[in-house]
Amino acid sequence: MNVKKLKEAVEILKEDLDGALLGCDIWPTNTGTSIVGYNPNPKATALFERVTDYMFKALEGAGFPALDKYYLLDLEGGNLVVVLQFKEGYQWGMLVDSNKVQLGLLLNVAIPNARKALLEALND
Amino acid sequence: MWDIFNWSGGKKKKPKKKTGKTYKKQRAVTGRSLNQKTHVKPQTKITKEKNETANKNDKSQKEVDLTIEKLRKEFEDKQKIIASLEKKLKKKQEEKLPDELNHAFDNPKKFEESLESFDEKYRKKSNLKEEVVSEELKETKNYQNFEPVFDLIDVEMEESFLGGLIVDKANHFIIYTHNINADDSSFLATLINNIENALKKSSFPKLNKYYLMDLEKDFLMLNLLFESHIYYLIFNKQQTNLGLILNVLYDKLRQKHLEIINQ
Repeated sequence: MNVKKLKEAVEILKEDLDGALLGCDIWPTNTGTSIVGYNPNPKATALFERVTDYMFKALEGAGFPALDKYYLLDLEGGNLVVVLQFKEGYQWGMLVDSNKVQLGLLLNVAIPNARKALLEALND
Repeated sequence: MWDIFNWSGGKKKKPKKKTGKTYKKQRAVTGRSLNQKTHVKPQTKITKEKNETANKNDKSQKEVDLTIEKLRKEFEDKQKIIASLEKKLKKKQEEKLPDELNHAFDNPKKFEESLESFDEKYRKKSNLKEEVVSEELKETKNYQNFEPVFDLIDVEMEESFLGGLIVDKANHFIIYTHNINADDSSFLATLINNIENALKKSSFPKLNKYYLMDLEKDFLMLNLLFESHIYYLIFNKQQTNLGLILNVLYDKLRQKHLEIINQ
């Protein structure tokens, strides 16, 4: 894993979201502790680790397909929580101001670019 | 030789006159004179017919009785067979438990496996109980038909919409399903509580309109929040237009949902 490239991945996300990124954390799954972040929120990291785990259990129990690349929560006041999933054992949670960025741009441009950058950092 | 058949020369013999002797004989037998016509009263004919029909009825009644007896016997035999089969089944069920346990005690791994299997059986039973409870709840609360909401999604989203279910947020019961068969939805129903709890503790704002889950095999689960109900909607990821659902369809669906709730 290349930590420098991980930090660069966060910068790429910040640029793509053009001031809409309020904070983010990257953490290894099953730890709930951040390794790289921007305006980090350790509580959110730990708690969303649990939410992800619960989602996997819920989907498995219901006989639905497993969680794939991300989940997204629409919050009051025009905020979005996005948690990206990586099969390499990492998660990337972020809080986004949806008043400043369109959902289409977030899902179709920012998230794919962020995923690509993080995977490059992990494989380096 | 004389031919005895052609001896009379083809002439018919004249019938002999009845003599006094024959008359007397006849009268002695029948009690009537020869000239007197043998008149039979109609009543006697009817009684004969009646007797004949009565005999026939008796015969048919006997046949019916016989068939009924046969059927009874067959029924009793079958009941005996069923009873014996039930006994055998009970015995087998009773025998299964100690056998499994005996094997389990010989081998600790098998013991664990058997415990797991029993646990699964118990879970299935408890799930069944839960289903019964939810059915009772449905009956008592008289839940509405939410099909018009799903019809609206079907019309707008066409083939991209695959199915969905509605969960009552208050009691976590699935109150409606559309083209979906969720095996054990207890985690799915309580997922919302877990998310809300995480947001609250992280000092993030509350959930607003929806949350979205990107699933494997090109599925997308959109969860819409309508007051005390949550819609879990499954879409085909490649075909769906998220903007259409969130910007256009959401308000229509909410309106339809409220109409049904307030009926």
